[in-house]
Amino acid sequence: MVQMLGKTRQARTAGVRRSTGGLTGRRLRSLVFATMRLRSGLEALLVFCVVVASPACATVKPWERAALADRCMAASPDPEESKLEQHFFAYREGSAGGSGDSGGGCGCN
Amino acid sequence: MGVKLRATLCTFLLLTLAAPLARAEPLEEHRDLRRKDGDSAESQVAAPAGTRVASKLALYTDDDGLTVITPIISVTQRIFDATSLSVEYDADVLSAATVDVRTAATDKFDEVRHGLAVSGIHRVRSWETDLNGSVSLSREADYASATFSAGFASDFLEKNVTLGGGYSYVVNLVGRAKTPFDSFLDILNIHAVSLSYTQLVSKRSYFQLSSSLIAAFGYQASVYRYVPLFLDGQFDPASVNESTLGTGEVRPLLRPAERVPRDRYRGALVLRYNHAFPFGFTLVPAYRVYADSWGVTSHTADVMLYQHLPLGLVLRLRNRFYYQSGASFYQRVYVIDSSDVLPENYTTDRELGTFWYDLVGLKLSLELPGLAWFEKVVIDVKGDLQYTSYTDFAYLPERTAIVVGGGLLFEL
Repeated sequence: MVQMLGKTRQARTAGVRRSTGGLTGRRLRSLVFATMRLRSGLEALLVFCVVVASPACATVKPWERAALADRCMAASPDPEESKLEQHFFAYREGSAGGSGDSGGGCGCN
Repeated sequence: MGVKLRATLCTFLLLTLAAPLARAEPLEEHRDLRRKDGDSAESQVAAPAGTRVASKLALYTDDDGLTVITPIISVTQRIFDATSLSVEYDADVLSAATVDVRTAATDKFDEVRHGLAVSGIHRVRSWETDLNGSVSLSREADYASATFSAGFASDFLEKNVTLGGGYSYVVNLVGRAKTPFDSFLDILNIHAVSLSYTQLVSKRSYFQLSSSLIAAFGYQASVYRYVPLFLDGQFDPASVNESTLGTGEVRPLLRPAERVPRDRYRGALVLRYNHAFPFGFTLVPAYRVYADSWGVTSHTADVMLYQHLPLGLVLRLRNRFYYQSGASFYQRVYVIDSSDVLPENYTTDRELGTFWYDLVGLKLSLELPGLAWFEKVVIDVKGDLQYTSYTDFAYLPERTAIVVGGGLLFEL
């Protein structure tokens, strides 16, 4: 698990490097500020995850997953609706864009 | 769209539909650990039945004069044993006479956006990994964009843990309506990286932590938005609203085109927890925190309740609360000392100000298994009501919107 988390950390670092290649000092400062703003929320979430995940060390066997297989338990039970909602929220929230939504224009804004 | 392109697309559709069908495995076999999120490279359809055809139609309308009709249709075809391809078309048909339009003293306008996406997903069984990729194009009168995405999702620890990641690149060409791209064209490049961690917690629950980092470089303002700049000491800032601006009771000294920074870095973190209770009741709470380099921060709390009802009906109730603080350069009213010195950035984009909204929704879906030659048919209808309160937007204090829609899904 530790090794796996290490790989995740490396992948995340590599991803950031790739995405921000050619950063100027100003851009880098902006990125650092945005990260710092996230930090308090991130710490709270991490603590929550550790608390929630602690009992999860006991693995769930495939034959024990009937409830998990329910359609309502899917992270995205209706992909088309999810896409429509992403699109909708991208225009209605100033914080949208995390989905890389490609629709553009300003007409419906 | 050229005749050649249309012919190519039709051929592609026919080929995918006629491709050798593997016998559809029950969807449940792929649902033991849900990893699919709405985010970029992970929004691909998990290995579905042999053929899946889904369509949606949504109508958005609000009391600010905006109506948008959005149809979407997608065809997913499983080819060979572990690969599926999807083709998806969507559009926005909009009619706008919003406060942006009214305060700019321009006429109501109608517009249509077309989008087309092709995506694929391949399961590498030996690695317990799904690889996915997609290309999507979007075009409207004054805007064109192309998105290229790739991602993966790997299962670990007997599928108790799934790690996912992806990268998207979006290139946007920003133009102006009724103006050729030769006369006005700017570019917006967006790079997005996403990561997700999903873990089963018990036989009835799992959680998912996902994050995304986005870097956007280029033109991010609106070419149609002009910002009133008022001379200091000449008026009462509290008196500025749509009416006083429209009647000329308050007169701006200047009205230049909106200006915002060309670079923006955004980060978001989402934690979701799914729990299935007995008697067909499922609870899905989620929390999202967001911050960016423009000073916008936001918090979103989203809760969905599902209840299985008799006859294959599923009821979903939903509440989404969103709060956002404004960008560092956003002001309700911009006041200047003279026309010689302007602020570095200025905007009247209300989505860059402080506001909150609450959305309540209801969705009812009916699943009909084994109908005629279809393996599954799902029909759904939904309705959402959204109330938004703009804390520091001078021209619109609040907005109420309704979204209604329905969908049809076939699997065979």
